Formats: sequence, structure tokens, C-alpha cells
Amino acid sequence: MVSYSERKRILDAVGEPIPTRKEILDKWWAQIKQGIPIIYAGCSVGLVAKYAEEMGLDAIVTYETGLSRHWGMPTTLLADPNRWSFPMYEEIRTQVVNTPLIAGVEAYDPRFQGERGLIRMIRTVIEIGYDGIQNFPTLSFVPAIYSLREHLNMGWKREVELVKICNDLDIFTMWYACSPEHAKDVAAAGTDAVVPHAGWTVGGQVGAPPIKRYPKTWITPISNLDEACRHVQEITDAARSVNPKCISLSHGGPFIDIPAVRYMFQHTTTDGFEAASAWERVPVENALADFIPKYRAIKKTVRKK
Amino acid sequence: MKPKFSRAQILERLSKRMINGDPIFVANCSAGMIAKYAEKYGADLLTVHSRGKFRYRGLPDPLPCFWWGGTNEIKGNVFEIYHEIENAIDNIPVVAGLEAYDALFRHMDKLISKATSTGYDGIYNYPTWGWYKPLRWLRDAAGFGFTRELEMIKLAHQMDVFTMAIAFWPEDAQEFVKMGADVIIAHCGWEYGFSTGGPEPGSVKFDFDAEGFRAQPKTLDESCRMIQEICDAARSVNPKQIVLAAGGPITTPENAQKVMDRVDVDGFEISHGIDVVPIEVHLRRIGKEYKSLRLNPKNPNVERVVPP
Repeated sequence: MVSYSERKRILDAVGEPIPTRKEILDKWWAQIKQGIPIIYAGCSVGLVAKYAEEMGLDAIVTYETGLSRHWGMPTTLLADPNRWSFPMYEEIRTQVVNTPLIAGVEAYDPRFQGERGLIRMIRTVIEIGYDGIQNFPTLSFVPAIYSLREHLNMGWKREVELVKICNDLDIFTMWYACSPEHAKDVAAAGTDAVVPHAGWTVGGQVGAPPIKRYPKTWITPISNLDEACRHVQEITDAARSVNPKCISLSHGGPFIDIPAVRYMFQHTTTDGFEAASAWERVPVENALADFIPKYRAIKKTVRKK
Repeated sequence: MKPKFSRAQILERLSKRMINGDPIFVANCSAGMIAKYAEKYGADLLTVHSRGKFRYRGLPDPLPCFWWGGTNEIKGNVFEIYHEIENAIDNIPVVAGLEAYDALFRHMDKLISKATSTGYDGIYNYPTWGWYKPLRWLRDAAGFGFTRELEMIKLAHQMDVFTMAIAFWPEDAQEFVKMGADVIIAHCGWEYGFSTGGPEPGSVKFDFDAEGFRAQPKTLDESCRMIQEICDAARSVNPKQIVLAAGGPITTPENAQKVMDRVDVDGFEISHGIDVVPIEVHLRRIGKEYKSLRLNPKNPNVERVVPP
């Protein structure tokens, strides 16, 4: 006797549970109303995801640039990013049970082109087991590049389209925006949270070099804290002008440690913070700078020879 | 480019440290990030083995496990991650942990030359089956047991490759010294005292001694006793033998110092203590600090700010 529906029943019963978009947002809004910021961490190895989960951070996002941090290198945008990041799922999920696990995806992946390309991408991500989607790496950083790719449908508009489809499918999204215009685009497309990005993170041992900020090359970091706060506020206001329920989670630039993030909360009305280099790189660098010299300083005191 | 270190050069490097009266500090590296800062902050030697990535994934090292081979081929194995390690360092020797009883490496010379041609400057026996006598005898009878580890050290020594040998028993240490091991690592069993560590010593009620088993976590006292026994045994064969301590409680600078205050070893190898423990301590603190921050009361979404 063969039963196909029986296999389906068992597969359904053992499927990876996923929080609904509403569950994530209800929890987050309850927290924001109490003045508690949403803090989420970029985690690309199990060890740092483990403590993000343990410390009760509000989401974990995986993307490929984090891997380069653990190679001891400056944060690096790796080629063909989804091929790096999608397989990271198992290692991270092993450590993450109660925290929404968000996939950073590159919307221009050549494997997911064509009319239904983005839908196939979403299916892949959800089938793998992720709970939501974020646009990383994003072309929001570099209008000069995406403007040339727009006619191929491989520019910023494709990222906005991805938000729209996720919104229609009721999938949780948080979206990087490097300018007020980008924030308005994705807020209108229905993202749950906009992530004002102040450029490549400065600070720590291999942070972004503090070169001058070019007018529309937004990967160049804002190094000055007040300037970065103004930038965050502009993007936050832009998103809220389109959708007052769009959450704002700030990231990048000089926001690298607790004092800087505290300062940001004091000087902007953003709702939270994404710690990526500020979670998995600088604290690890500091941890190693704290411990390893202590091992070196150990003295040999017993001598029988 | 990282230079290649000969056995003589590594020994000279270690003896310089010893002449100065300082302990040898060996850092077991699980990622480029760790190797980079281990070199920067003064480690003398790096070790890499196929199970280091377990730690970086936030998992315990499977020291007490039931695997009889195949580690040299697992994901993140010692050959696979060499590039990541070498990429992060400039001028420090790196020693490969090899699984000597791997069924896919019947020819020992192949295994050793694979390590040296990958770029490693020396080898040692990790993973090891030294800690569980009945099982290693069982596998010895099948041709793939602990004896292979002795053979590996012997052959590598004949090939003039720098060798270290992990020993759990005094008699093993003596055998390894006879095979020509340049360094003996007295191993105190599974590391404990942090979130992925083994159980606290004595918390598991089981007569491990009766089973010829030595991978269980041991207290500082027990560890020091064991290290001294292994150390004395090794030096009874070669009075100049370099001996390091590793495992068990040696996961923090404080505990490593306590061992160095009580035992006449030449240094220590740190594994969980160089990645998991520092990262655990710092991320727990920072996670708590992030959770204690509060939003701006002027934020239109905030109704009232609850104090941390």
C-alpha cells in the first residue's frame, strides 16, 4: 500500500517552523513602544550567531561579506554572493531557534533572472529555511553603477520589485536604503523596516578607510557621528513620510560601538540598529586583543631542570 | 609570502623563547581572524586541525567521539582551511593536525607529504585516539589504531618534518619521544568551563579509569598531576624534551598561569581559550549593553521609555 499523502503529512509535521510577518512585527512594535531599540546582528559564523541568540537580539541576518571578516580581512563584497551566503544557513540555523533568521540576498543573481526570477529566488530562500529577506549586497550604495544596469532590469528597481513581491506574499523584509529617495521607494513598496545605511563601517582594526564621502557613492563612509545622525534622520523621516509604520533600523558608518549607538539613539528618532561589523568583527578583534596578550604574558615559574 | 620553516628553524624559535625563561605559547587556530591576531599578539607557533571549525561554528570540539577516520576529508578539514590561515599571517610556523588512523590514508607518507605540500611546517597527531585504550587496541588489531600515530611521528621525523605529539598517558609520551617527537603535548582531556565546553569535572558519575579512558574533563589538581607525570615520563627518555600542556582547564589566561605555576612544562597550547572563550566573554557583555540602550523619547513610535 502506497500513500503519497502520508509522506506529505510527515514532511509538513517536520518542516522548519517560520514566524509569521505579523508575529515578528507585533513583538517588535511592543518593544519599540516601550522605548527598547530593535537590535539585530549580522552573523556569518555559528559562534557569533550563538551569542546573538543567547543575548536575545531581535533578528539575525546572514550575508557573505561577514565571511571575509572572519578571514581577518577588511569587509569584502564577494563575487556571486548568494552562492556564498545561501549555504551558510545550516551552520547558523544550528545556533538559532528563537530569533528570526533573515537572508541577505543579492537581487541581481544571474540564476534568478527572467519574469519569474525573483519569485524563484524567494522560493529558494524560504525553502532553505530563512524567515525573511534583506537586500544585501545592495546596489543602493552606488547609483553610478545601478543607473547603467537599470535597462537590463539589474538595478535598484529590481530590489524595489523584490520588496513588492515579498509584501504581496506577506514575507518579512528589512531593506537597506542609502538615501531618502531609496527609503521612499521601498517604504512605498511595503517593506517592514528601512535600514538607513551610513556607508562602510568605520573603526576597529580593519574598518573602512575614512576617505571623503562622494556625493552619490554611498559606500564611502560618513565618519562624523553628527553627520551620520543627520543622514539617518533624513532617511528615517523619508520612510515615515510614505508609511508611518515603517520601522527604521540604522547601520554603518561610525556606528561601531555602544557609545556611538547610544549617541545615535539620543540624536535621532530611529527605532533600532543593525550591528554587523559592530557585532561579529570589532568585538571579536577586541576580545582577541584582550585575551591573547594575556596568554603571551604568562610566566614560567617552576623550574626543576 | 609566508616563509617555509624547517624543523631546525622552528626548534630554534622555540629554544629562544625557553632561553629567555618564557613559556612557549602555541595557538590553535580555527579561522584567519584568530591566526592573524595570534601572530600579532605574540604566539610562537600556530596549530590547525580538522576540528577547529567546530569551535568557530559554536560547537564543542568532538574530542570524546566515536569517529574512526575520515576527519582529514570533512568540511573545513586541515588541508581545506590552510589557505584561510596562511592568508592571514606573515611570518609564523603552522603545524597541521593529522588523523593518522584515517582509512583513506593507508600510505602514511602520502598524508605527511600532503600536509607539507599544502604549506604546513610541521605535523601533530590530532585528532587522536590516545585517550581510550580498549578502542585503540581494537583498531590497532584492525590496522588503523593508535600505533598509526606513533608511526606517523616516526616517519615525519625521518623526513625531517617538525613533529609534536599529544599524549594522555606517560607511557605514550615515552613512545612518542622514542619516535623522535620534537614536542610532547600533555593533554588533560575535554575542555570545560564555557558554553560549548565539556561537563564540569566529576559531574558525570562514571568510572572512566576502569575503562582506560582519559578524555573526561579534569580538575586543575588532577590536570597538573597528570601533566607532571607525562612530563617526567617524557624527560626520563630525553631530559631535554620540550613538553607543553593543553586541554582540560587550560582555557583561560588565569588557568594557564596556574598550570605554569605548578608544573615544570615549557609552555601550553590554547584552543577554546583563544576563540570561543574570548568571543563568548565579549559578545555576552556587548549583547547585554545593546539590550540596555533606550530609544529617543522624541521618537513618535515610543509611548514610554521603560528603564533598563
